[in-house]
Amino acid sequence: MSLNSLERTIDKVLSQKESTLISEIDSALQNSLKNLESSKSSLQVEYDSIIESSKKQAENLKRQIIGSSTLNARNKELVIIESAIDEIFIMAKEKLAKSNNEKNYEKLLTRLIQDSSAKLGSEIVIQCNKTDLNLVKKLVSQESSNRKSKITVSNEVVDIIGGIKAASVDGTMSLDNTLDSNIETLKPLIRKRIVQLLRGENK
Amino acid sequence: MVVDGVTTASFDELVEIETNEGERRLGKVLEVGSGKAVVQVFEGTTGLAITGTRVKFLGKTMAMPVSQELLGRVFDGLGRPNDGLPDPVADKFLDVNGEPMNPQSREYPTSFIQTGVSVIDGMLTLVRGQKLPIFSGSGMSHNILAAQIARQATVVGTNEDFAVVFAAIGVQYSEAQYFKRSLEESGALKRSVLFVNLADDPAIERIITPRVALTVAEYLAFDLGMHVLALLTDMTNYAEALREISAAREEVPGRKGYPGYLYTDLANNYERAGRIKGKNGSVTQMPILSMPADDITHPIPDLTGYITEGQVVLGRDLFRKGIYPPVNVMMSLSRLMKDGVGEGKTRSDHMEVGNQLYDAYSRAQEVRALAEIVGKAGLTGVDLKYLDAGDSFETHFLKQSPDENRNLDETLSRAWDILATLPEGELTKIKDKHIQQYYKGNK
Amino acid sequence: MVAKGRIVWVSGPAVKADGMSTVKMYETVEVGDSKLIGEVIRLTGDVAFIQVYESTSGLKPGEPVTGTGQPLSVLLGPGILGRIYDGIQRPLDEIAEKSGAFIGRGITTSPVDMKKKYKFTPSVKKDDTILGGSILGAVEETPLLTHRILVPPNYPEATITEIAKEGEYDLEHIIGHANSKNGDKIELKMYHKWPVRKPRPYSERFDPTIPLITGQRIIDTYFPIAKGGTGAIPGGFGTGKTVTLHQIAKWADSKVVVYIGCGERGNEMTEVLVEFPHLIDPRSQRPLMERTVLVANTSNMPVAAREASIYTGVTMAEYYRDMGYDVVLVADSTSRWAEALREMSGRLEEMPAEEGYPSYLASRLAEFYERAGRVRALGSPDRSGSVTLVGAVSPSGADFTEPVTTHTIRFIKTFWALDTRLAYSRHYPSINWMQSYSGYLEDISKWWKENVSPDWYDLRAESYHILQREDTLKEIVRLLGPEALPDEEKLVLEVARMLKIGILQQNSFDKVDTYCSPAKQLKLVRLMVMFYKESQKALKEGKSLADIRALPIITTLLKAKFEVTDEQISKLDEIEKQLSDSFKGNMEEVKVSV
Repeated sequence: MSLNSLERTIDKVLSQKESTLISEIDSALQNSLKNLESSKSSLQVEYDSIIESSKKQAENLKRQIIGSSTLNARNKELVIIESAIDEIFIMAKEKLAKSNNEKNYEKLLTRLIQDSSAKLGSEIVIQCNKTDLNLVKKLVSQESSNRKSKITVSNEVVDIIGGIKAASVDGTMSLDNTLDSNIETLKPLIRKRIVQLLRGENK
Repeated sequence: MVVDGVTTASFDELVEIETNEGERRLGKVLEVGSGKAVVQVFEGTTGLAITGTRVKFLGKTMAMPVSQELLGRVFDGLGRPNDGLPDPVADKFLDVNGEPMNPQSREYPTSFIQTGVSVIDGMLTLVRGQKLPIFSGSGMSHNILAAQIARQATVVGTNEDFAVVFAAIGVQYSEAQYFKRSLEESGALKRSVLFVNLADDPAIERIITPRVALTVAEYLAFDLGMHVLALLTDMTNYAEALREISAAREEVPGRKGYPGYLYTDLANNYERAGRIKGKNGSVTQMPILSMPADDITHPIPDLTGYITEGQVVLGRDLFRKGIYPPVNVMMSLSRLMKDGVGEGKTRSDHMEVGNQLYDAYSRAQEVRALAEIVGKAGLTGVDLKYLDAGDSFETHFLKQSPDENRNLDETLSRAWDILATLPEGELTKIKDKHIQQYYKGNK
Repeated sequence: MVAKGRIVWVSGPAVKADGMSTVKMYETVEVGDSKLIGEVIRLTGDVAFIQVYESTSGLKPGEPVTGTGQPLSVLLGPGILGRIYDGIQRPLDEIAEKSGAFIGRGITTSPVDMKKKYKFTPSVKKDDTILGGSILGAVEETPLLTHRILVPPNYPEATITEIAKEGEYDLEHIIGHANSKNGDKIELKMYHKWPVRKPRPYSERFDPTIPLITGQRIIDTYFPIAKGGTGAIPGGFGTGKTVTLHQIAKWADSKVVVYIGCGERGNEMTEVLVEFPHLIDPRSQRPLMERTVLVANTSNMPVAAREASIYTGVTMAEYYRDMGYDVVLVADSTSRWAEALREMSGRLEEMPAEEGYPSYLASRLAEFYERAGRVRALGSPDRSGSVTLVGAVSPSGADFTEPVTTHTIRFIKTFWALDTRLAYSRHYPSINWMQSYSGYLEDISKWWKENVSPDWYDLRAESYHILQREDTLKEIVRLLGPEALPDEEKLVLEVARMLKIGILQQNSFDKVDTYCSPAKQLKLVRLMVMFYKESQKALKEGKSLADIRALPIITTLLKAKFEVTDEQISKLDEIEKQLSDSFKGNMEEVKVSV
């Protein structure tokens, strides 16, 4: 092979190399352009989804804030109402404690004594508060003579607003017929009424 | 606990027990006669001495104070405030045992509830007034699913939101908290009532928890006209508490030591769902229970399935594959779907598409099993298509994110995507006109 | 003398009362201040054990218990059909009127409207002799049913002294007077009462030879039940028990249907109440509700009344049988009834047998199913009627070896086993064709041969044989795959698939498919058998299975069940022709159309 032909061959190879190189560079450029383009669009998608999800989050947050603030307001109201109810109860109890001289109260006590002896049997022990002690003793002696029951009134007084506590002689059964416990039982109904008054509903 | 010297107690009466230390507990009369009363103590009998324990018969059965104010509140398992706020002011006191609804007065449930969960809306449609339980296993994602349904459930075309009554029965603190937070975050807490009996609360209290919750649900629905979604989780803990009491009373046990009346007792809770003629509201119930050892024939899921109107069964396989919600559709069923979907209610192709999906997925499962033995090479061309349909059913239809709310059109459109992978001739359950309208595959 | 006692013990629906020495077993009593209805189920000295049919919440020792002198009875007369009762025959609509949407306690109502006037047409005249069970006349109870007025079965032979003229009377009106042989005067009304626990008497029992046609292919063709027969349908939850029972209640060719919802879902009873008035009986073109009575004790209603509901239902069924009608009684579910027995038994601290059920479970089940039968009724004129009993069983864990299922199997002749696997793959009705059986097959095949086609028995046997072969082949396929089988056996699989889709599966929610007449059933089966035979022949002639599978006639055969209505049944003959054409020539050019 002559030098010339060798050169030509080298030239040819080189030029071929060159064109491959150029085309490779070109395609790489195209590729990276494409990549850029696609990453742009995928970025856009990502961007959109971030916006979307933060919108969603914001929406959730809004709902959460509105929801919990209405709830908090309502709960504060409940607490305020409750303290008003408590005050009313204290006042009512004071008033009740003072009303032990009324006629109705005597009738009530008689009924409570009868009820206790009906439920616990004929032999029972009764306790009451200091103010009522004499009245109860009087009523019990009337009651004992009316029926064949043996009711003892204990001299140990208890701290209640009114009514009586009764127990069987052996102490296994007892009955709480105090005004305190009756108020406690009726409390839910009384509370309902108070709230209606406080809220200005008058059913 | 047996109480002596009782003369005036009545059956089912509420009882207050005072211990030597002055602590008060609640109970109720299970049996009464000959001067004795058998009393079930809700907060357990530990610490009760034989002498000195005092029992007070309250002369009434257990009642729950109810009013609109209960919304947004949290109570313990016996219905007492648990959120530091005062006792609710009652509009009424309702016996927690409720009364059986007269079948004559029931309104048959027919309104579609969109839960935004494709597999439920598309194939296991929930209907307003239905009782549809979730059968799960320990550790699976039932609570996430239930919370998602609670957040997303709507009746399309109405602005009525669901009120949520949630009863946590013997669950862990974190689970109860998860629900509360989930309701809080979606702003739904203000129309929710929560009853929480935690795993370390007395088991016997659990007997009452679903009862107080359902009493409130009935009140909200039938007195206040709200649409209520009642979630009870986990009923397995409830049934176990029942078994504990039964064993303590030395009753003759039925299957697996559960009392013979387990069915009746569960029914008394589950049947407290539905709609009433002439009233606006409804109670839709979703009890959640974990199947002991994933066994669906265990008495608790078994008896539940006999009472409820279908069941959503979660599958361990799907759960392991990381698919949420891991609903095993083959074992799941909604009995009322047929009455809640179709022309005028959802879309005329809804039922047929649902049936065809069942058929396709069922075939796919068969082919999968076969492929494991004979290899893919032993399968026919149609078989291979079913294999693909099965995979895309799981990834494209079943799987969704816990905060993804899909409307019915999207759900059905995804369903048709899956059916498009099958030849038209395979769609034997769908009428021609619907195929013409929706089928996207090669004809 | 009426017993008056006091409650001494309360535990759920079980109550003990003392001072009850004059009360009788199974006497109805009023319990407590709110007069709850109960029944004496055991007597020890003067202590009566009472099962109370209402919630006993709040009941306490010391409250009164009063006997009524009457055993638990139902009122039998016109006005029963179309109604829904609780377990002790109180109409639920009237309970709703009195206590609202939730069922209250201590409510008394009359089972039928005693004031309603019916047009009575007498069929006896003065001086006619009547016996217990004789027909006095008739009223139209509903447009679907002529209610025959019966002399109570326990009445002696007597001679009519007076009978009302044709006219409108209410139920309390005395429509007839008669004198018995020993001179007792008898008054006759249009109703009487009968104790539920006592089967109503009849004069003779017949063999069950007439099938009850239900329009359900797998039942009528493969596992039939006879009129007056007994059947059980056990299945786990979700297997479609209730849907199948609803189908029987809807389409069975009986005159009257008694549907007992015993411890089941409230909404299911509501569904019947909503659906049946709109469903039209294919034979009479009248609403199905006019021939139906519902007895509902849903799962949350008092458990003791569940026990009674079965007897209440079957006594009403026997009453219509005695008029000379065919009656179907469907009980969903007898398992809940058995559980009610178990619960009461437990409360009474009786010795338990298997799984806590009382030892008398088997005898109670036997007594119940024994009340089925096709009989000649008492009295004149001569007539026969039947009570067919179908009981659902809900085995726990779908386990057929549990006590209620195993005992039930001993007393029934048709067994429809529901299969959880079939239900999971949405094959409905999910009656498993390998586990189910019918003891009436031979007895009723004569009817089919005479009324439908002489080849019925053979066609049934041939098609069933294909299903049996498939069952054994399936095992091989499971291990080796379908390609391991020779073509002849692959064909068996193919035809079995067609039988499953085209015959056994039936869509109860499809307008056409929900009911399939015997003639259509037979033709469909014949087509399938023909296809099998033609294909076998084609294979022998060297044609390929692929060619057979590609035949368009297959789709036609599979869709015929809902494409061809009973009215255009002759189309099936056209299909038959297309079928034989399909196998002619090289099998590809035959166009198919319906």
